[in-house]
Amino acid sequence: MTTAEQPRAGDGASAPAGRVPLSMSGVTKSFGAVKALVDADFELAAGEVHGLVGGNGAGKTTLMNVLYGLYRPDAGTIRVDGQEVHVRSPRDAIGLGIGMVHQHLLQVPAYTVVENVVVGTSGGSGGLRGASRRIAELSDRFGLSVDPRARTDRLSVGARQRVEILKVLYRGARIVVLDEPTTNLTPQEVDALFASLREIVAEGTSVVFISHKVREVLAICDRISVMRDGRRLTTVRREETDAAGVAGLMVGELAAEQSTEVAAALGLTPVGAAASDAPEHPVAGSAVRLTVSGLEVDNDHGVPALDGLEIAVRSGEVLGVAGVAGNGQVELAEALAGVRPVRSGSVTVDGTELAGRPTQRWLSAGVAYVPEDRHRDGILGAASVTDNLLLGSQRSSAFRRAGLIDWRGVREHARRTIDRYSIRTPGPDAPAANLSGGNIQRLVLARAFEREPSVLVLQNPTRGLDLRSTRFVYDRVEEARDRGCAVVLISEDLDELSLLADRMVVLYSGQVVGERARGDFDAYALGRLMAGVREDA
Amino acid sequence: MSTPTVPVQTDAPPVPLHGGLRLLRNLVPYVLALVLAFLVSGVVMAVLGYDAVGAFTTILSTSFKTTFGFTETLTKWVTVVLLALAFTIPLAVGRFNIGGEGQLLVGGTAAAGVGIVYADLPAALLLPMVLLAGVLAGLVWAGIAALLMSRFGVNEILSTVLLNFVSFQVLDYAATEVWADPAAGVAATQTVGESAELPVLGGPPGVHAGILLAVAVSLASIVVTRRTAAGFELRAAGTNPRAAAINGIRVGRVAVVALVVGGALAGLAGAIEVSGVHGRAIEGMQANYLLLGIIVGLIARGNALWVPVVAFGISILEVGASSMQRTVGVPAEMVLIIEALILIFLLLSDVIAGRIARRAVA
Repeated sequence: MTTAEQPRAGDGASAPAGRVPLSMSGVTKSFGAVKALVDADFELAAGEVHGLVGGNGAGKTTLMNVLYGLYRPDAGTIRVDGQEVHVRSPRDAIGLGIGMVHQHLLQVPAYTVVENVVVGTSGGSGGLRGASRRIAELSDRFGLSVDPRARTDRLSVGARQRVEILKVLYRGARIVVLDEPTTNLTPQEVDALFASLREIVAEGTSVVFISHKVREVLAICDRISVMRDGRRLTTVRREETDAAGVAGLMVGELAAEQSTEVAAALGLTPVGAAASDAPEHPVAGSAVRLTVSGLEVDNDHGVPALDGLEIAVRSGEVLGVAGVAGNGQVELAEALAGVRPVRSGSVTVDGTELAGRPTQRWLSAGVAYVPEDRHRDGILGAASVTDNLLLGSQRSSAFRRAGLIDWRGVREHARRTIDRYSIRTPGPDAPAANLSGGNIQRLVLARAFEREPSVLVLQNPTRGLDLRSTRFVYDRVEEARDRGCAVVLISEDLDELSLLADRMVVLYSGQVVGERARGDFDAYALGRLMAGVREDA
Repeated sequence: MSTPTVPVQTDAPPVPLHGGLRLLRNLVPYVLALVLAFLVSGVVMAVLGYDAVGAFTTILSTSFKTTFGFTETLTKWVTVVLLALAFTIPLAVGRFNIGGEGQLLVGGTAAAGVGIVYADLPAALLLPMVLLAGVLAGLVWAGIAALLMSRFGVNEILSTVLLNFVSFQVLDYAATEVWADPAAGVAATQTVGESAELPVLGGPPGVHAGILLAVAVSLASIVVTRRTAAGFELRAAGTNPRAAAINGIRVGRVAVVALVVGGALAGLAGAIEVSGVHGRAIEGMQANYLLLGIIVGLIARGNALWVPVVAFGISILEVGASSMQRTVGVPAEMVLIIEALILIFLLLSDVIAGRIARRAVA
């Protein structure tokens, strides 16, 4: 076992070219019935930035969590500097010179930068003052500018990320893993991060850069490994490839692979078949019901997530919004539902401006929202199915008598709704949380449809559902469309989108980067758009 | 993120229990908690050398043996039930009002002030003014905490508790500087005008008319929480704030209103203490009502229907406590221990019931 005493980053630069700081082979990991990693391997050279790309569920993060000791692999070996090691915990990993910066930064908000860096270490000599000096020195050397005495919660997300990288370097890491590091950064911060990464690897440290953004990977990485279905598919050198090449690998280049099971790198499945047999739906003449223009919305960290988004949806039209998760989908869905504050821009439904109005106003304007996380956002778990069906309509005159809620009428309505939407429940009084995922989704849809919406916003509405419930959701969406509803379907499932959408836009970094009409849904082209490769590139 | 959710199929839905049977099953933990609490405290008393049986007999019978005991219990109930509602209404949205005694004291102080300053007004005018002053003062007092919470994100537990300490000083100022009564022997304001006093029903000894208000408030809170849209929104926001907000409920506003209403009820309790019990504002008149309100609210599990019932039970214990001290010599604080034990055993039974339910599912 290597001890925590590591040579400083600078010493590594002179290492022989043949030295392999890290190699993983035959790594297998299952979560229940789900195989997250299947015989995956990975090799890292000294002083390189190594891109690890792939779609959701490809196994990138799982592989690195195994390396960092967060998951115990079912099988496989890890060698650091040619020596086999067993990483049982992050503490072991740190001792081996492996550091990881997670997508969600784990810091103590009320601590200063120094305190956050030294927390969990023995502190070293010279106390906080000495640590502060070393941090200042590190941040100078690698261009990771941050004030060591600043309180962490006062810093921007970019600065907090620099703190996290400093922490890893401070602990003497020679292998630095960054998980989707650019998600919450501004373009300027991304450039600065890349400059720092070049400095870090110039001194012999190696960096693993997990991402699904092809452009960024090409901008910073020396080599790129593509993962798919829990395996490493291939590794290419930067100079041997281009954006289309990487996107192709992620999506799956061979038509044969596209045919069925291969869930391609972007979490998308092939499109061809579904697109052709669905009849075209004439919507060109109908009135525009939903108009979004110049929409700017922040994410939970106050970082812009939607940047001047423009869409318009007609009555009886299903607009598909494709894209890799984390490109502004959640923010778009919540903004369209009137839940997330709109920083600037306009959203109109049937000509009524709704931006900046309270959620209740959006509901009464006819907006219905089927959220992605139905347990968290869709239902009152501990409340009865009846209560859940009433939710949002509790002030409606239909359920009022003499100023009070007409529970008899509400129960009657609930019983009818449970029947009509075939919600399987022990009874109208059963807590909603006890229902299965598919039945919770039926409940959420029932509530949305009973309001006779004019605009319907759905995000990943069939995630985790079995075939029957999926079919049910599709039927309801088509029914809404036929009734003249304007439907916005935000999904990561290209099959689903090509089946239902009359038109598809691709969301990337909070912007619409491309649009395709029905009949022109080409998986390959869409995949490239989803990876951030512009139409004109 | 990397672990996909596997849909759970409930192919065999459990048969819902019949109404009566369900009530019975829900009562089991209460009965068990009561029996265990008395058992454990009985053992403690016996070990300390007291006559446990005699103590329990006194505690449970005082309220029913004499008219005096019974009226005292009802009088106690008025304040306990109001303080319990002051706690449970904000609790329904997941907010903790631990400032009941502060709201009670400023309510009482304001009521006493109005009762002293306008002592000459006729009762028909003065009495409503006194009560309203109490309500408004409690409302404002909780309103400070609510404002801090909604504007600056200050935790309401902290602000309501700290405002309690401020309220002690407010009353102290009124009782020693503004309307001091040096003859009272304790730190207290002068007495309010006669027309500021609540009429007494029945008796003697009789119960002050504040009990009618408390009954009305209890009934109203049952109707509001179960039958109105506002009550529904209160419950929804407490059950799942995210889902409630997505469905158009202004969760922040609901929380503010709940906290302010709670404060108003505690303020009303203060006014009733002044105009129905003491005839003046006295330092220390908050007694342990804050604690009792919380205990009642938690034992009733925030259910508006059960709050008055539990409050009555606790009032019996409280009134019995002092006569227990007199007759058997057991310190009155023993009753607090019993009340705490009831709560602890009740919470324990929740944990155990949860485990049993999980095992049944697995």
